[in-house]
Amino acid sequence: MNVIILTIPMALIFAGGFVYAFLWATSKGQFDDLETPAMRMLKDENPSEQKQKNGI
Amino acid sequence: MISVMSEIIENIASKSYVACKHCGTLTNFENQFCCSACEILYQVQNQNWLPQTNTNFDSYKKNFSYMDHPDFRNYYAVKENPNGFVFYVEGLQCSSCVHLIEKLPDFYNEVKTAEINFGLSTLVISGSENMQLSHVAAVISELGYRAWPLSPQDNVVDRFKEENRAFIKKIAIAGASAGNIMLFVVPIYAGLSGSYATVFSWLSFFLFLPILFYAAIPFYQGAMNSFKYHVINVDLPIVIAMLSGFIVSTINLVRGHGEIYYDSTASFIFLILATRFMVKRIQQKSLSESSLSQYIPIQSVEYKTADGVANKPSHKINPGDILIIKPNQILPADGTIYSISADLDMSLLNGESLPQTFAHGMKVFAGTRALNKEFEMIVEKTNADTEIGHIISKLERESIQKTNFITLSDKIAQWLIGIVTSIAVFFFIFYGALVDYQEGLNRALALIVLACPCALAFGTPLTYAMSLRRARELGILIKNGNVFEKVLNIKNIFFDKTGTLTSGQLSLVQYFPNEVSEEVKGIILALESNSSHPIAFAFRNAWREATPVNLENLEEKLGFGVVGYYQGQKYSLESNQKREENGLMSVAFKKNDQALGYFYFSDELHQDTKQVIQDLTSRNFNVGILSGDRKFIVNNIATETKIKPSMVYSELTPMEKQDKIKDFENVCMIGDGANDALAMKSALLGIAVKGSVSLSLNSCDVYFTRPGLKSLLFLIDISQKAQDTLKRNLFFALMYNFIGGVLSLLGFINPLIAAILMPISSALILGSTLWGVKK
Repeated sequence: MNVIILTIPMALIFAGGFVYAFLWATSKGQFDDLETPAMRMLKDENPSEQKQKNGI
Repeated sequence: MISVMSEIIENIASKSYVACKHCGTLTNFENQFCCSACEILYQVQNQNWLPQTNTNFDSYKKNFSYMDHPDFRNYYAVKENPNGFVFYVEGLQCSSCVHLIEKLPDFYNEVKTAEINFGLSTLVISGSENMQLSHVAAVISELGYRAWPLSPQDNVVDRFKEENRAFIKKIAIAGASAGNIMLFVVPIYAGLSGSYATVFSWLSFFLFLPILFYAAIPFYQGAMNSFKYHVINVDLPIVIAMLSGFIVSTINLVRGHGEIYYDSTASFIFLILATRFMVKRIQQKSLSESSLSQYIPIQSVEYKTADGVANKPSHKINPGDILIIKPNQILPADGTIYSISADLDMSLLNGESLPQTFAHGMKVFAGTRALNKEFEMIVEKTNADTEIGHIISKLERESIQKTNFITLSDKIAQWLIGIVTSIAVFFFIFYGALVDYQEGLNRALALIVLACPCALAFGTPLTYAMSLRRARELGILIKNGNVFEKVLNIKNIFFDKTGTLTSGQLSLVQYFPNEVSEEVKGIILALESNSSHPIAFAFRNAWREATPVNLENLEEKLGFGVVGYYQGQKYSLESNQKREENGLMSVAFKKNDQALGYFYFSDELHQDTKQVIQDLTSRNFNVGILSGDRKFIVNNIATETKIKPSMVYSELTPMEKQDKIKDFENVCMIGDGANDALAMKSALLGIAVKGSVSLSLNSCDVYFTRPGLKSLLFLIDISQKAQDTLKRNLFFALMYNFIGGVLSLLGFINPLIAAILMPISSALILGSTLWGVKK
């Protein structure tokens, strides 16, 4: 059972890491708009737009 | 009456639907596309269509030219970027709309980025210094949408952004804490004891602290408000339950024996936060539509200087300025006419359906719209001093005084909190005196924790969120969840006439003699060709196929009509007040001053108006009309719709409308113009219909996005369902509270049973809500 002394802090640090990552993503605007990005990805880009993005 | 309702729904459902040619969404439009975006995207892909090729483009652009004024740009630019702007876009339907508008940089090179927020219907653009806002707005119009810039204080995207992010963070913290507490509690339930159990319990204690000090802040604020306004709301019992849960658990933790409720307390806080966020999100969508608070748009106005003509933005006009008002422009200030005459559309301000002609020296008001010709006016009053400014400031004053409408869940919360705390106190005193104070305290606190008004706190917002979404699907935007309860309390319903009961546009309904030759049609259309008088539109709509002839010396005469010459003969159209029969407006057509015929017009009722009013009457609502229009027109509409004459009021000013509303109890006011705004604010429930001006949107609780009044029946139906679901939830919750309370007082409740009972009750309420609102 002694291993629990190691695993519990590990689990808590792990959880803390995820909470921190979530809070970071929130303040970067990840969850500001939950609808539009889902619609945006359905459409293919125009060839011209792709060229611009690839710098051609 | 229920059968009538289902009949209406069936009628809608049975309408044949076709798949949109571009995106496949089912649609009932005949042109095979669900929205103009799909149609245009289809053309872009198959026919290399570009917006600028359209010949109307320049006239579109001219309408928006006021946006290019430097003052206008500075006023509307976003904080961080002088070339970034936020537009509110009306008409977004599906992902094609998003895709099409985000192609803006393709259509107009000066735009660098364009990003749509579908939920809030906003468009954020940034561009180069040379980007013309008029060009952007014209392209968007060309694509089939309407766009208005949002000023930084109206910018809902930014306003909601911080608020939402903070809320999401609270949910995340509460969720993480609750989840981890459960992990540590399971071994204890499974029988773990000894030093590990103590360590695990202390870990739960520390994991609970972020909830106590951070995630629960919204509840503390709500509870504080309930003290401040002396109204007990749902937040108060939540805070009491949470704090008692925390205190009893901590005491028992320190004592080393007794029950610990950290897990169930944490999970109910998480659940309530999450459902509240759902409601918030849906409400924000509706709020964004009404965020166009500017009634008179900031525009560039031409004014006379000593040596010519110059432009300035409308909010910098001073009394004494001489303004040159263009056709279709909205008057930016109160003043008097300086030119010989002017025709104004007053319908926004006073609900009058016919335009009025004003002569030199007559007073005109801000917010009215100039019709066909340019004229000059001398400014007398500006901004807040104008007639419309008074209405706006009155509205703002009154919106601070919140209506004291107490919702059912607040009532139950008050009732519950009183009963539960008094039982707990009495139990503690008696049990303590008779048996043991410590055990008495323990059981009393357990009662409070378990009697947490979970259904109230969690079921009510969930029911509201689901019903708000359902309403939204039917084109009904609702600002506040307690609208559903207000709807069920309504006894009197008052309609505005112009634009609400009627379409707000005149149509040709009768003529004498019964036959009109093609030649006469051509002459009349030619006479009216330059006019933007509603009667001219009515002629054009009625005779789409006829071609106007070539007239000579076409002349418009003040308060009289139009005169022109065709093949040497004098023809005229004159207003004909004497023959206004049966509430119809009429004009006479004359050749060489001899009457050849008479034409009658009326402001047609919406298709469904009669049916809806009949339905409402059969449901025992008291239906009436409050209108600013002339008496004979209003009475005519009242007879047609079979509204009781005692409930029909005409020729009212906006203030008089408000006073009438105050004479009745539990009133719903449905209107569309600035003249209804005060009445809508005073009514228990204010509803704005499609096509309303922004001022009335601000003072309403509900906004119908689809034309016609059928939405009102849907709203009543949805409200009824929401209320039924709410009551069923409350019944479950009270049963649960009763059983739980008895068990805890008898000492049978331990944390395991609490941990099992709480999720079960939540699931029960979730299921009941989904089932109740869905169908």
